[in-house]
Amino acid sequence: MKLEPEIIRSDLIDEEYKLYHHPSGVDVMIMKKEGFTTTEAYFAARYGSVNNCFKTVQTGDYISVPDGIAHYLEHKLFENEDCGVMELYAKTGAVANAFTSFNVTAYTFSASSDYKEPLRLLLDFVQKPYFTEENVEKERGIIAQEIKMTNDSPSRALFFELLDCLFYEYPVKIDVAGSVESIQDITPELLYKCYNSFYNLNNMALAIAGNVDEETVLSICDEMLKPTENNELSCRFPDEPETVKRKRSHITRQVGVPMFNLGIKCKPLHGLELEKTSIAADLMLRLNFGHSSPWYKKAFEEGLVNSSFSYEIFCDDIGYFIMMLTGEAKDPEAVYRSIAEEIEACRTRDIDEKRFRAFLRSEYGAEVFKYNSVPECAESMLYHYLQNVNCFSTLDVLSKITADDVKNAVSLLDLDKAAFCTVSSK
Amino acid sequence: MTVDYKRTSIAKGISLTEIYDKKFKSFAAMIKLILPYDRDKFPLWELAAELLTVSCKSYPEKEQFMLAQTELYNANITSSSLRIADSCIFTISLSCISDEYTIGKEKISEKAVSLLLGCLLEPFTENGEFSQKYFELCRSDMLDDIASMINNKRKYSMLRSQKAIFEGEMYSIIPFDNVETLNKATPQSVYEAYRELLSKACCEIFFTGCAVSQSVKKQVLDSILALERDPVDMMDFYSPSPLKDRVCYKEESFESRQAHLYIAFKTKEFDELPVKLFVTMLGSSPTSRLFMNVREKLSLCYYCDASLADSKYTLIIRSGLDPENLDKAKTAIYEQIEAIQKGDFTDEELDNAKTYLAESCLANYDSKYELNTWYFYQYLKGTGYSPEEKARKFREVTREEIIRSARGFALDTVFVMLPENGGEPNEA
Repeated sequence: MKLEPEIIRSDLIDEEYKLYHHPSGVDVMIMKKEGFTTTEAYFAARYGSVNNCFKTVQTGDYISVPDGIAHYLEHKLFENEDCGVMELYAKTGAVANAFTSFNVTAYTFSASSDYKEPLRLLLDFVQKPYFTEENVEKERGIIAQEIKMTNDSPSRALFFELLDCLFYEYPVKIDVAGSVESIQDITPELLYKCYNSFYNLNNMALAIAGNVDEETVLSICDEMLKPTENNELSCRFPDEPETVKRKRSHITRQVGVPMFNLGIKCKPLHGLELEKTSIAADLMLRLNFGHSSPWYKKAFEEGLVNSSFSYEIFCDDIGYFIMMLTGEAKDPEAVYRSIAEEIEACRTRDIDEKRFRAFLRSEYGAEVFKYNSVPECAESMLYHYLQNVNCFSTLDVLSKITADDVKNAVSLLDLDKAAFCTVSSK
Repeated sequence: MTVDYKRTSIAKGISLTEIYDKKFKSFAAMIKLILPYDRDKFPLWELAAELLTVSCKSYPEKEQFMLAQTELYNANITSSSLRIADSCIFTISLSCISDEYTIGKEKISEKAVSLLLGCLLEPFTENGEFSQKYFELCRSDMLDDIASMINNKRKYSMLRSQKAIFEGEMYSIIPFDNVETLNKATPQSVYEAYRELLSKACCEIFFTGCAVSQSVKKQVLDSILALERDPVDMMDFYSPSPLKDRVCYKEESFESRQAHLYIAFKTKEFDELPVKLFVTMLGSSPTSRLFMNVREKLSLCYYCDASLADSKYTLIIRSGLDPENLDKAKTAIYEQIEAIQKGDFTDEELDNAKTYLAESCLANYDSKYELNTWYFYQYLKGTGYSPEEKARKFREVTREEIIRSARGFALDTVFVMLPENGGEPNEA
């Protein structure tokens, strides 16, 4: 039976992709890029570090699993019963990789010539878990070293300290890889339990972009992906208050210049509402705290911050929305006071229309740049899919957003729901 | 799988390289200034390059300058500095979307290129020198950057290892050694360094991505040709690092949970293609011997890889691991190198390495930046391969050539950065 795709298109930048609901349960997104040589694919499960309490038809009641197990599982899937997956990829010339984040585990490859065999491999090995006492034990040392390596980064330590201050229980505060201690409790049985729950094809998506042919991709999907019964996966998250757990924290690490991170906890949003609000909030922060803002000019020229200062909207459809202002400063407390004063000032200030218009052009330009890169196209399809919007929704929102929307986003800057964390040397 | 590539010599010390492919919706214009490395002047040139992309005569305030780029659909003007062997390269670059994709097909490429030229040729000056305000801010920023290198443990360890591996050579001078020169710099001394950069450096102009108009090209060439210049000769890309009489073993320590191991091997003869295949099999592909043995089989580390400082004929192996596993890791690393030197590798391993490198070459066609870097290095190395040609060349290398190249490498330096507190967890 021929599948009918949803065609998702932007006339503005002349780009499109197709979304197929494959009978196996997998949603398949294909973006054909004329003239490009390479192909990039992401085969992903909606399974990240936050999904540590869940139930399915098979588990019955909710079960809790050790921190870092999604990431551990990602490592272990690269081992087949008879050989390593990397060795199979090596024959094709494609480069395989994977990552686990808060909300997703994705397996990727990048190929310059033939993409068909790498795609078969991708769809095959992700469906063939092989966990034994021996191979699970072997991985523990490797992951412990990965955890120690990432723990040595002061900016990462600061980031997780901030999340620990902002959230009481919500699991986004837990490091994606878990801790050296938590991974000791991971067993083959637990890995199979997580695998069978989250790697059900109804919980998975494939995003592929580049030098591809839609019919070939679909025919490989037909060959490799068989219809799967939905296991009625449900994840449980703790109730998270709107307030923050702690408002201040300081940690010590060997750093060149002290660092700070101010995080403001906002109400979680979903789908298009999340997309619209995050874009408005991003523009609001750019206007008030971006490198071309009057505040930054003053703070930079007075030596309060250096050029490492930045802001970020850290949010996801799964249930968190944080605004962060971070950087290096010799006197972080003075930066906090200055930001707090500026937040008060921008509540009554009108939007600078000229800069607002310029930023809209700039955001549009950034979208055009994005589609020059095959990996970014594949990543963007997957990212937006996980947020329950499409790739071009950013352009749609930008075309309709008003100065009032941006002005309204100032109300999100509530310092009563903020935490300020710093790191400095002993 | 071809691009429209053309390199033209414009005048003494000035060349133009054009790499066009209509699939791109943006272009990059880059002006690369290349000079022999000079210990005292390098930090001043670096600071000058920074100052050039903070403001310019038409937009003397940083905020105005940034807004001008923002209005040009996120056009981005940046500077960077790079050291290769005994040369240093300063690049001022512009990235801009094609006029075809602006709203209403607004013409912006000429304005964007004018802004780039304004940065390079008409900086914001006061009384014939860089503005005191931006000089102080950029210098302070550079000093903070240097101080903050300790935050990235891998990068910091790598820089410290560089001092030991290339001891006595210019290549052992690392950013921490520039602090004194930066502290003594003045707006005038940096401005003089900038003038020298413009007059003495070899100038490589690049346009990459979607094709630019003749008028845009002319705009750049006319401006560069109008400069009074007396460019120096280009340095050789290769400046081999001599093998030490005795292997250097060095340890340092810092606050961390992991030890960082660096082992350097050097060779006197360097045949690029077989050497790259040797290094790929050893430690720079996902199925390399170091990955499969030191990480996967022995579970000693998260990463253990090999990289090549090709201009220095030096192979560097890197790993992050617990201090008690250092000896085990070193033994395993030496075993893998010896195995390849003895020819103890399968045809499958060799074929996989060839495929990996050939595919990596072809991947360059999909990025205007990678294409730019590709052809720039072809010029520096005195070769002229397209990615496709080089991919083919890798296929032709024989097993014997790889063994011969591998045997040329001898142990030179073992550098270890140890955790100060034995790797205990950091204090909260």
